[in-house]
Amino acid sequence: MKAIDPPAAPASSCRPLAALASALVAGLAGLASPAVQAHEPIARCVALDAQTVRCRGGYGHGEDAPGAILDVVAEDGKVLIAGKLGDDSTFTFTRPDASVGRYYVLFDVGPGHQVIVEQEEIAALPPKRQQQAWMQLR
Amino acid sequence: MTATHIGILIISLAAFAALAFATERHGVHLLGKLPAATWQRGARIAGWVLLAVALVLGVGYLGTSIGITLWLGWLSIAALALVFYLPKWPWQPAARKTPARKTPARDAAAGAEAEAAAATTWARVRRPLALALLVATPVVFTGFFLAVEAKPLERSDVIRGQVGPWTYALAESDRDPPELVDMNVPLKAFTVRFCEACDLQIRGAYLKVNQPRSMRATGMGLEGARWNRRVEIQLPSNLTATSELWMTVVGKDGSVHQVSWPMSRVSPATVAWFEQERKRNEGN
Repeated sequence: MKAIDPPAAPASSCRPLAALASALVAGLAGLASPAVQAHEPIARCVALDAQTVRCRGGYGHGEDAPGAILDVVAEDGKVLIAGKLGDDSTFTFTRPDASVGRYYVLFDVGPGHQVIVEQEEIAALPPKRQQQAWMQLR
Repeated sequence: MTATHIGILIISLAAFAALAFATERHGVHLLGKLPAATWQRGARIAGWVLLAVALVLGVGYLGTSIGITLWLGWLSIAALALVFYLPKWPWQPAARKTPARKTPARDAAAGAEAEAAAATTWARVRRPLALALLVATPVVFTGFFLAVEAKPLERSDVIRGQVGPWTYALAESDRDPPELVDMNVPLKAFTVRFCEACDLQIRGAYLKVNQPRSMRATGMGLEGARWNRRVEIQLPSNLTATSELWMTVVGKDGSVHQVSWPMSRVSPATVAWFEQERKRNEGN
């Protein structure tokens, strides 16, 4: 049987050293990347057609927020449509009548945690290839 | 999520087992005899590849910083598990009676010499390489450390002023373009500090781009009850240089005070980013 090669010993003894060093460098590179803490509520609305708007509310990392409040509010603060996000974290509504004036969408997940989407921000559907799953008509 | 963690653990266990198999000492320990050189090389490559796969899995599913950290954590657990399990390995060879190290026999030297020559070249490179990596660690760290910006409220672009009876300092938390999150929504973080006496009188402060239309829609609340307060807010998709950032401060006495600044003053990088996006969309 072959005995353990003496020359191999120093080589293998520095292998963990190399592993440790590369792990440290990799770890530092990770630390240096900006801290992403996106647990903030986010919301986006698109106009499916001239009358219909769909909004999706959620959190920065892509988490859903089913059951969260999503109201359509007139400029004077009157709630025009009191909505709740469905199981797919979206809410679809018919645009308020022009007679109510300007309005905005308020995605409200708790005190101090909200997103306001102004009427002007409700964009038309992007081209098909840029559409996200929640924008697709069902 | 759980599957990712279990996956990283199992893959790193397999990786370390392969790496152990590739070493002469543990190879003999596991197999009862020394594995063939090609098997050793294969196992060594497989081990490192598996470790890399576990890292990619972690970074892919958990993000760079959390992925690397958890990968290191699971690596430690996998390695420790092997450290404690290997002595109990049932098929290990009987303990040697003679000391393991002895001078190699002269006649075996002829064939082994060529092999040893190749091995020593690698061994000669490996040690300086490992040392270079160790030295690189503090160097890289110092580099990143020097590149870290001053604390937001100590920068020259901090905005100081007064809202109602309270003085404040406000700055964007970093001077980078907005951070894009899910649904391509841009977020921007801000840091605000009121005077220490003010903190006692303030119930809450809220930030939002565009003037709040009602007290129900004043935006995101700044986190914290004193000293540095921070919040990350969604930016409206139609933001321009003239859009305003509004801060609503509510006192414990119920009084409400508001102040606003143009976005071009608060965050030039954000305004530039939106301009660029608009140009890009027009180009499409």
